[in-house]
Amino acid sequence: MLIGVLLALVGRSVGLPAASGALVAGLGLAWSTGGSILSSGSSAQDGLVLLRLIFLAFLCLLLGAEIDLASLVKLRLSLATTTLAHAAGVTGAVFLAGTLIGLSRPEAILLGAAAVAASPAALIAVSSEARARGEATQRVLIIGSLSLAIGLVGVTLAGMLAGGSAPIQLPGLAVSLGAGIACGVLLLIPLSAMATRGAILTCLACGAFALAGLSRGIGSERPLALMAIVAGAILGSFASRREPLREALRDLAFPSAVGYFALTGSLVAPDGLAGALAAAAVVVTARTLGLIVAGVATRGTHDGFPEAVALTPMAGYSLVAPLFSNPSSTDPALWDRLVTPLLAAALISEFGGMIAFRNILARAGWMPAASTDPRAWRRSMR
Amino acid sequence: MHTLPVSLFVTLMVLIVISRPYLESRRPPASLLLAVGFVLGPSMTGLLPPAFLETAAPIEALAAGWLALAAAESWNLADLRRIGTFKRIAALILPAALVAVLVLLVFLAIPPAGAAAASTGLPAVLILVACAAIAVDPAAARAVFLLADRPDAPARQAPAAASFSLGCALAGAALAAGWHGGGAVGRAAAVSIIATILLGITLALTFTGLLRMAQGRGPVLGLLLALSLVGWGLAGRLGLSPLASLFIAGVILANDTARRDLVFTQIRESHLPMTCVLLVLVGAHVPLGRGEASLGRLAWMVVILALARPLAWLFAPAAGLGPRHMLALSPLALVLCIELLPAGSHTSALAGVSTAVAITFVLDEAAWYLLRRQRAPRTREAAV
Repeated sequence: MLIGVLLALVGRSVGLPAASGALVAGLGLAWSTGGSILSSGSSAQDGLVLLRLIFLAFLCLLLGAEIDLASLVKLRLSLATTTLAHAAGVTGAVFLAGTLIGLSRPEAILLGAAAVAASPAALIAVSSEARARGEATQRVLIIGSLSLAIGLVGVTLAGMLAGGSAPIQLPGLAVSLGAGIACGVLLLIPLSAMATRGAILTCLACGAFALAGLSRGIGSERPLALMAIVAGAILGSFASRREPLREALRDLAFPSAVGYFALTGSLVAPDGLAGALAAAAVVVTARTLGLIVAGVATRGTHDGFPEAVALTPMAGYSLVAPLFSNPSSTDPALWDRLVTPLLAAALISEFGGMIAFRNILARAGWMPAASTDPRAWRRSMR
Repeated sequence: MHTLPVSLFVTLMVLIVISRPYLESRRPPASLLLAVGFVLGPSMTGLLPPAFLETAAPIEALAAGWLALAAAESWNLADLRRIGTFKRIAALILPAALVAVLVLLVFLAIPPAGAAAASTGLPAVLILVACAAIAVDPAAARAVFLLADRPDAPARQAPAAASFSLGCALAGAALAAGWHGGGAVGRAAAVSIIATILLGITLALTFTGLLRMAQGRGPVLGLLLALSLVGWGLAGRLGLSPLASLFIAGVILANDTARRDLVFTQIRESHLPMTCVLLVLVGAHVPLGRGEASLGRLAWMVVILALARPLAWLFAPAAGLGPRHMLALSPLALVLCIELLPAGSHTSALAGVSTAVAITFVLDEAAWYLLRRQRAPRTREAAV
């Protein structure tokens, strides 16, 4: 955690997103210790995994809270068209890339389906750090959330084709969505009565804990992000004191992002990753091209290109890995040719994608102007 | 893990219940949270099984470290110089020593029998009860001050006095940690104290240096979270008391006037959720005399802590704390029980002490709620 914060601050000072620095810190730790920093299955590792899930829940609650449902309704046709175009473009491009790297057709379809999902943690980490909240950022966050949902459904369907065991079926996904709605509605009751920061944070902490635990209780951690986004959207749209709620979540964004990405990196077992880098690069390139082609085709170069680049961070690994987590029924060769390259691709796309998104925010003018008084934030704390 | 959804449902219901004025009254209903944790824990329903409590250890460490930092906020060097540090320490010895002697008498009168006797750990028990006797909650003392209509000088100084008292309790815990040994530092108590102080100073100075790079509330919060976790991990690794180390770090930060507001604003804002999480998890750890075969010994320990302790404080006015200020035990007293309780030692008398401290915590909080407000004039309604 400390090294993650340090590298995050160093990265920030040179204009990189803090979360990228934290991810590098985590990966560096995993690499330097020759493997996962904790032996698999230990209770200490379970504790860190739970902490990581709680950080993810906080990030996705913020993402949901930042989504303006009015914008969602107003732009629903454009958003739906763009999301579906991206999904089709990415699935097709990554499917072709998958067949090029030697996967069978069902495996390549699974890879393509997984590649559709954008990484919500990466998107919100960058946008909250840059304090970008305009319409363009709204579109990116909404499309990212919708693509995550499409990816979840697609992976569930394609996973069975590729011979994986589905720990959660489509009805389970619907239950997860309902659980997210229920959690959001339940949290509304106490939050409506709370005005102080401490009370709001207590509610949110309970909510994040509940979401993390619920996802484990359902049997798969895959739907956690979607559940938290839905709960956050309900809170952000219907809570009587929306701005204090959003401010509380925004303050938590930096430590949650650093904690999440540092732990993600440190819990990676780097065996076999080096050998999968070439395949991963092919997948990432194909995905990016698919996004750009679909984006430019639907919205033109001026709007479509930056939006497509912003959606580069990918969440595919966390959707696919649980399908093949049962050692007795998983072919090790399948793990090496499908899951490991997907992990490497996810790490590369998250690292590079966050930097690309940050640059797009700056160049496309989606960020607010820098404050003339850089120490104004200190005054509110006196 | 299938029990988690039930536990979480209960947590959400508690959340709805405690969203009433409790949360706005400057102190959460600690006993209620402790009770929730106890009901969910292995001693009662088992909805939070021991495996989950092990999994939640990083979260517990984070919350406990946070509270140790927060408890140091009121530590006021100027106030201590005015009253006299040694005079204050001498005053604190009375309640600590009295409680320890009385507990010793109970153990001599009702000694543990059979196999339990071999693992009594009597010295650690005595240090633990002595620490619990003076582990006053600075947040409760501050709440009394804030709720008073016309706070007098003792009320204004009470938070600093409470913080000092808690610091002495944690110093005792550092001694006990050295006594238990098992870490790199070994069993020498004096070495343990010095090492704890050095670790706390190192943590504070490192944090202060890194704070220069933090621009914004988020990075400050991130650094504080890292400080709690790193401090806890390092102290545990060295066989020192994590609470004492982080408290010392907090004292140094509290007296760094340039950055005090920066640090403690964030700590105060997150104090409530950390307290709630910690109390639920600590409550789940309370063994309720699973290892304490003698109910008589348990009952006597509760009587001593709940009655003899406040009476002893009446004879220690130099400590700077009145009855309203010293009644509420700090949640860190409960964490001390877990810190000093060796893993798997439920057959030892330490388990009984943990139960006694938990029961005393609840009783004292109830008494604190009754006494917390100064008498207000009849024409004005007291608002919580």
